[in-house]
Amino acid sequence: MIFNHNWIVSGENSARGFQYEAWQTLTKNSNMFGEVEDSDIFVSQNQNDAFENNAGSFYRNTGVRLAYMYNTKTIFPDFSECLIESNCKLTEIRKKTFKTLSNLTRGFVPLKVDEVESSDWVNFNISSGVDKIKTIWAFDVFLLTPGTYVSYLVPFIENEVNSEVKFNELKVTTVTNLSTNEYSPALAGICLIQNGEPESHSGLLMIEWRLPRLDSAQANSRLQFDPVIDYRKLQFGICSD
Amino acid sequence: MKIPLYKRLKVLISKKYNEVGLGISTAYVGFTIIWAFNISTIYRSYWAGDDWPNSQTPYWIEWRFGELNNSNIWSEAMFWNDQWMRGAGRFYPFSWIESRFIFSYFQELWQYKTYQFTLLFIAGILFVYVCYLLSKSHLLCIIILASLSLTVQFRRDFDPHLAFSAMLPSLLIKIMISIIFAFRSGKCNGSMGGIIWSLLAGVFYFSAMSTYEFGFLLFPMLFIAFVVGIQQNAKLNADLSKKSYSKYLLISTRFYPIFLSWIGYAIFVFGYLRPKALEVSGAYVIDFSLSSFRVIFSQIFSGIPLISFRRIDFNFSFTTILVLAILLLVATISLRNLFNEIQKKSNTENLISNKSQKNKTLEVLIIVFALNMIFAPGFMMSIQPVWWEQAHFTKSYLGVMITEFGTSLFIAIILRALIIRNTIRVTIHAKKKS
Repeated sequence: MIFNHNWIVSGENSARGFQYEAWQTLTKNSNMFGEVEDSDIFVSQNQNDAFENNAGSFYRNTGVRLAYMYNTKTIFPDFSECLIESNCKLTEIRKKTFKTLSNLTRGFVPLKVDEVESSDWVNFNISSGVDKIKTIWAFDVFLLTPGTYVSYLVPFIENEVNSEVKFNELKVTTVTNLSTNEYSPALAGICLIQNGEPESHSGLLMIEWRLPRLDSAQANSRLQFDPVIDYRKLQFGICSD
Repeated sequence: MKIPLYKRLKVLISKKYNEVGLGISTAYVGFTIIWAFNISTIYRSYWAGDDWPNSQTPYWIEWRFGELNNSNIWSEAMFWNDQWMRGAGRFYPFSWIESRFIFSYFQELWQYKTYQFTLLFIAGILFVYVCYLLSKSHLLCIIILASLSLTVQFRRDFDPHLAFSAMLPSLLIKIMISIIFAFRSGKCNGSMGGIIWSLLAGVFYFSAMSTYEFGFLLFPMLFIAFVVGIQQNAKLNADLSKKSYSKYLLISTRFYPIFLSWIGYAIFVFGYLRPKALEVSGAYVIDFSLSSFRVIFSQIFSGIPLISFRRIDFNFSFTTILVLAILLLVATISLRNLFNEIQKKSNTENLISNKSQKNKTLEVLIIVFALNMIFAPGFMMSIQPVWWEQAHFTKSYLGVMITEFGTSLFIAIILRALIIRNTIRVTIHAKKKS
């Protein structure tokens, strides 16, 4: 009886296993991070340092040493209340992300000046100044369905007035533990198109997606979306094929 | 001519085997297998609790300092130890050192789970060995080994078996080693030898407290081991009269190193670090109220078999049924061999022998030893106001592993008494008949 109890309880905490494995597959094998450079910054709505989606793990798997991977609420504490409809603006993202680097010193006891280590990557970025940060990226990873893990990456534009992204540079990748992809993802209300053949890695299926206007067949068609959109419009959905 | 180590080991094992007998040896092996099987379910688990962020340690070190090497791992461990010392007045550097190195070197899940399994397995075996040293009873130890597989239950909230960097098994191993040394200190004939054993016990005990402060409350176990060691010291017993016995215990310089490590830790943590701490909050605030008694009471039972069961735990799969059938077979063979041995012994040895005062004292000491383990975790929680409204029979904290070990000893004491009483009754009945 106790054996059965222990067997069941130990199996219960494997719920995050798929997310962990999908993150490894995504960051080790995907092409979506090719343009990301050292000291860039990621801003992510589902980022959590307590789990695997953090700057440290990203560096290990991709070799790209981000200045940091922030949770959106760290940069915009009132993000949930700041709605597009209410004309609320998410301003000065570059300034805010750089300023917040100084909060990344570890621990809860402030260090004295002579205790701060010069080899610390955070201190290096702070001392290098705000211009060292080349690109700030909107990035996210989360479960679209229990068996499909989705990720997007898109650069923010240099805009002090509101946080907007270059939607036409969007990159999306899904990782699924199913033998075939179950749904086509949609972002900001636009159905995405599969880009190339699915790749299989450690039993997971990885698929890259792109916006429809990049499709040669539709190259001359009217743009069905703005090339620049508000960051808050980056909401995922599912397309019925 | 020098005899090779393996040959010496072979001789030693066969000597011990002859001493112990087939029945008892089989029971030990059988219940060790069951113990290993029961905790091998650890392998089914994923990163859990604090292990999630802690498992990211090597990546953070690489990201922050550019390289993962021993020096960076060490400075990371020392950084956090320093933060908790200055911030919350806590001192547990061994936990930081162990966890930072473990997660840095065992990055694959299976490697870390093997580490968890190994530590818990060793903690269980060492506990049985310690109980043997104190009691010299194979029967008691075999029942403890069997009971461990019943009392050690994985928890759905704060679980020390599957998570938290194997801090609790690590603490228990150090405590058990220090108990063995404390026992040797008491048993050793030469006073210099006794002090050296005591010094070693003090060092290990200090490292145990520096793994998790909780070890502080387990001091009585070391004292009991020392006293039992003295009881088993033939020379000392011959020299000391009954009256001077307790006086000897009080002034024995042998015990000083252990005592000093205990007091030294208390002064350092409670007298120096905590008053100076900048941010003692949440679970680290210490207080006492009437609710504390309720918390202690609720935790006493947390090691009882099936206490953390839920309805879902009755869902058996084919695999678990198969494993259970095998374990049942192993348990049956083990128990049959054990009882045959007991029966044999009861014919050759006098189980009814008049118990000396010393034996009775020993029994009381072992009961206190078990109660220390059962009560200490609840006491710790009872002085933390955050637990006053939360603690429940089924809701416990990391110390529950210590209660589980203590409960297995307590169950073994009761079962052993019942078995002996029953065997005596059967023997007398058989003798009367013949």
